[in-house]
Amino acid sequence: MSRALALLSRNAWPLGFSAAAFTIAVGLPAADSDMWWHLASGKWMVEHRDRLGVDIFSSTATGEPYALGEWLGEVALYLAYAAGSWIGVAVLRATLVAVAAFAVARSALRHAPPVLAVPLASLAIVLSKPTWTDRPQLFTLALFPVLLELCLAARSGSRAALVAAVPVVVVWSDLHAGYALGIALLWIFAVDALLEHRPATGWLVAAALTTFLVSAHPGPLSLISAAGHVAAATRGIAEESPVDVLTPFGALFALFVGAALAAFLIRGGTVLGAFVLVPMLWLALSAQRHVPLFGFAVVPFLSEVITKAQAAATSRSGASEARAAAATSDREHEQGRSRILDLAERSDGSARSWPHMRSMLVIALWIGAIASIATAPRSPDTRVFPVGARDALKASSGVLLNEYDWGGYLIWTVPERPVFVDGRLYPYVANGVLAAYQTAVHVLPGWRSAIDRWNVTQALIRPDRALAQALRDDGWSVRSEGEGYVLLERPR
Amino acid sequence: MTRTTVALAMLVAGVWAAASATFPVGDSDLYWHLATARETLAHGLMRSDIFSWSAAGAPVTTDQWLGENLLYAGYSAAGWLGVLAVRTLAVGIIVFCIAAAALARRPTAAVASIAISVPAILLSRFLWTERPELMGAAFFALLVLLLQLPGDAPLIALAPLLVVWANVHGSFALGSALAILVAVYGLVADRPRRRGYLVAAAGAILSFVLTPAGVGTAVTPSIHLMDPPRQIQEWSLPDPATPAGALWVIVLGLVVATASVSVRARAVDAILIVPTALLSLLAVRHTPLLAIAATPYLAEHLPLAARAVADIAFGPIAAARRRDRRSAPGWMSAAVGIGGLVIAAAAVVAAPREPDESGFPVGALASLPAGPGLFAQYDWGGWLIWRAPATPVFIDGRLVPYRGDVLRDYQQVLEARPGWRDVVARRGVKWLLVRPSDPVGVRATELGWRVLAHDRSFVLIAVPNSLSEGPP
Repeated sequence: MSRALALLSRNAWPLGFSAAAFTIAVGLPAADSDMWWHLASGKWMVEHRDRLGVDIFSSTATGEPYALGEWLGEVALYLAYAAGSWIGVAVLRATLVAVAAFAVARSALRHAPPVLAVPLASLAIVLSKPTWTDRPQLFTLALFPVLLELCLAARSGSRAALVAAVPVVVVWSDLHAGYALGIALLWIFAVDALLEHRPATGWLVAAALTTFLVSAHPGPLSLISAAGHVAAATRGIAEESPVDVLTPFGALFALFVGAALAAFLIRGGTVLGAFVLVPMLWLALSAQRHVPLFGFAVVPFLSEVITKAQAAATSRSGASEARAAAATSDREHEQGRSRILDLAERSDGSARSWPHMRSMLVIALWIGAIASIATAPRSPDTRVFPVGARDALKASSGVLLNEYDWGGYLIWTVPERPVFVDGRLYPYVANGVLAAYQTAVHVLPGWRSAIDRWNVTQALIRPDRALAQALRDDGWSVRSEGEGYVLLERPR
Repeated sequence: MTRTTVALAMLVAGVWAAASATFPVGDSDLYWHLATARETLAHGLMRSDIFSWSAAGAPVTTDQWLGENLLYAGYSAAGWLGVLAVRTLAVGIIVFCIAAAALARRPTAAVASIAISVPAILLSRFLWTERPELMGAAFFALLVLLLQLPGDAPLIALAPLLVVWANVHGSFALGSALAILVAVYGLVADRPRRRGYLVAAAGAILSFVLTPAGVGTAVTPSIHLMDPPRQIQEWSLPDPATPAGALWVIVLGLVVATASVSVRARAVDAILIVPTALLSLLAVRHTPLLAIAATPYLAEHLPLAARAVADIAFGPIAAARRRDRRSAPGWMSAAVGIGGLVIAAAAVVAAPREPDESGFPVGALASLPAGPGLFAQYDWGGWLIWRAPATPVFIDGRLVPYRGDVLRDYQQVLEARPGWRDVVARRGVKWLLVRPSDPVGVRATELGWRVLAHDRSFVLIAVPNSLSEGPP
């Protein structure tokens, strides 16, 4: 019992931080446009006890094989839904966000005192907020910082952390294609160990074993495809586009980039930092869905640099002799750092005199977090979807052309009407469906041929689309109309 | 800077400038800049719009008057070849400053320094257009170079540089802001050069008022900073999947990697690099500025970082035998420098005499009616201002007069979004001059509107009278 409390006490800050993140995340409604088809896929796999490998949801790619390598993530999502409806989905989301928060906070606290680590971790978690979506990608959001923390712990000498990293990546590979980042991370740490003449055998074995297990395992997307999925963004889809720094989310990302750049220029960093951050920066600049991962990756390195800078400043102000020895920066950093840690310890005097208080506080915070499940929304936020068109869709038939972003919602709520296109994307690229969709909705040359080729009889689109006007001009009638959507039907 | 540094930088600049001279002029904005300069010379500064029928009389900015007149001076002197010569000169200055700044930081390894300046030179390629923006980039490169040099004189030279720059292009605001930051730092930490920092700061402050627009000269940079027109390619977000974006990410990645591994940078490096890095995140057109700002730092620190990594990996390596690096004799430096100038001049003489108009609807000129009512592609507006002065435009690359209603209506019509015909009627559009692939071109043709002229690149369509007469 006392060991458990001691463990809680040692991890009080990360645990408290993750409880706060859980509380915030659980109160948000499910709203992601891709969640629906992930749920439908998970449902099919649970009901059929098989992996879904061909398209069964569309009218344009029916029966065509496709693989996203996220089967376990989709099954987990559906099981959460089956267990607790939308509250179950919210709890799964909040749990994964809490795991991410815990790992980010731990990695920040590795070098910095709480007064610096917690705000830094908080900013990183805020930066990740746009990707708190209910889909398998959320597993990458949680497991990337977990793996980074394990790697940092292993680098500091924890053999158990290195051993744990292998199954984490193997399980991750069935949850989401982002596992490619995990394998890359293991190899980066292996190269760093080789380069710095530290024991590298464990790293090489872990990286090679993970690569082998994932490659030999039939479930996940192949490593090459997964790497391609991570690295090659599909333009035209918001989350796959570069981030706009004039949005609040983008501005926070820019803050991280600027802070990292300034800190490294002024104070210097580490070789490992360069190895980890440069590829993560490239990914973040390529597609905004990777931006949170850059934030998670930068936190431990930034906290280390800032702590060193503080330490140097402290030791400079402490003794004029230390100033004279400024060139020996390592010693200087150590002196300053120990002073900061002394101060932190002194401020924690109450914890020493009352050993279990921190543990009790953490337990109280988590009781509060669990109680906050009561605030979880009972239904998803469907304001951006054509809810009002469902009855009209169910009462009619034929090939439906739908907005890309609405495809998943229709798969889940109107399963009797196969979609034209949806967020799964890949089934629609090679066969030209996505191109036909773009041509049609933007009324580009050949739009009429695209409509005719697929025998489209109904179009469920946004009313401000050029296609809405063109079809009305062609005599298509309005079957249903509401805020944000119009359902048009071909004249008979 | 040594004679050798100057000579080498001139040679590099001459080669790249010569390469730039092989491209014909033809930027879509060149034409309205020339037309504005012609108007300025004839009637004084143009403060309200006279080229469009959609925003006629609306206030226009005067912040590029000097840059426009420099271009027009080239045109007046030697036609399109004169414009090309001005462009070549500006490219030469940019490349010279980039190379010289790199060499100034690491004069003992000329080849490495010049190699490190290549990404910045390549990225600057996307600014090699016949516009004041190119001159703005040249001023920026000059500012970066001056900040690498010792003594008071370079700092004092910043003051007139910034004031002139403010009359050439709106990018001066970046230069002045950076100069103020450098001056504030220098006044605290570099007291022996205090006089230079004070003069530089004064020049930076004066640059915001010593223009025809007065304090209003900051309006355009502010708009571009806070509300960039994303629908225009150069204002879109930098994309690492494009060649320019990939090069930009490489530079940014090199800076991060170098900073992580190398020794501390100079404060001026951080002041130059961090703001330009953040600015480069904003839009494609800013990405070369980061590369230009970072080159001197990379020239000094990238080899140090590589050495540090090698030391970690292989243990301390004996320092390479230092060769005696005496300056080249004066006659040799002069010959090399003059060689650079000769190469550039020869390239200009052999350069294309005519502009490249392949991107414009040349075939429509004969069919264009005079008077207001033409709705044409944004990218063609400037060219039409120059080539069809009797036909005012709906919109063109000047952008500022059109922000708001005109731009919104333009997009609605071009994309044939619902209500586009109402806009055509309300605005009194009589003719459409668009690409055949533009949705409005597709729809207007399908609706049976009369095609007056067309080829593979354009279609000129008459709006039916029932629509173009507008609402009663």
